Amino acid sequence: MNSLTDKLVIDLILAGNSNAYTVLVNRYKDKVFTLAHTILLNREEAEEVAQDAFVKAFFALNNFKREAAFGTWLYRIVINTALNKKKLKKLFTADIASVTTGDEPTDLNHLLQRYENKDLKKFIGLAIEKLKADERICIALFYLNELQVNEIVELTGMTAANIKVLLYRGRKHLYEALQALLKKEMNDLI
Amino acid sequence: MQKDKELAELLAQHAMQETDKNFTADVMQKIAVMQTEKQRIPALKQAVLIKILAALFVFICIVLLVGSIAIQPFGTGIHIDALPPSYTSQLIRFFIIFWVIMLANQSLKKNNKLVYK
Repeated sequence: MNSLTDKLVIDLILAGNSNAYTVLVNRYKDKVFTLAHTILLNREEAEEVAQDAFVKAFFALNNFKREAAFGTWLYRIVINTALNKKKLKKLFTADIASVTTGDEPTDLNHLLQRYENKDLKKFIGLAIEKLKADERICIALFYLNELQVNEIVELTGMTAANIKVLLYRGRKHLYEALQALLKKEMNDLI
Repeated sequence: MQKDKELAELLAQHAMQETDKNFTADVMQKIAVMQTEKQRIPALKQAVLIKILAALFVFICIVLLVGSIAIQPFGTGIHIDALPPSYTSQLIRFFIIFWVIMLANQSLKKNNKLVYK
């Protein structure tokens, strides 16, 4: 059953096979949890929101119109549930009038190679947390949830130009934060 | 917009968060509980409705009975006297039969809904 497309699994669920939903939960749980964690920055709350989002999605499957992918529809539920948890109405509030320019730090790869996976996970997590909320969420939706810009536009209600600016800034700030963290760690070790 | 492949790889490898082992089981359990709740709540409402209707039925029966006894010796003040006496008794019988059928109908519906599987 794991090889079935989302649409076929949904057909099975709507036909009365509730257990088929485990396929969708297993398929999307990490991405949903990561998105919730990106918004909330708290593991317990993110897990709760992720579970609630899956439950809401299950009972709303009848209303899923299949114009968008199931993933995109599910991420919308995750975002709304996470915002309710934070008691926020809007996801994006930052002023994005100006675009900072500049290249990514060049010696980052060199620094990254010095660390083990476990440490890298920690540093990347910390670097992501240092981003502004809107940059962080855009980065997660684009790079981790693998959404296209037009899908992020649909989810967030922002313009494509604004999303691109946030992605550009977020990427730059992420590299900078990561480089600063790794350099600090190196200096502390020495 | 083009993806920064290095960043995409880096994030996919190290930034993806993993849920607890029991995550899927927990979600499915929540769904099962909510499904049961959704089936149980209408049944409860139905049970309460039956009780209310039964109480109302008894109350109306008592009122009609008292009324039928009290009205005859003293008159009503309303000009029911203009109607033949058989009309009043027919009206009372109609109300009683109406309530009996409605209660029986509700009771049958309740029994059908309680069968879940």
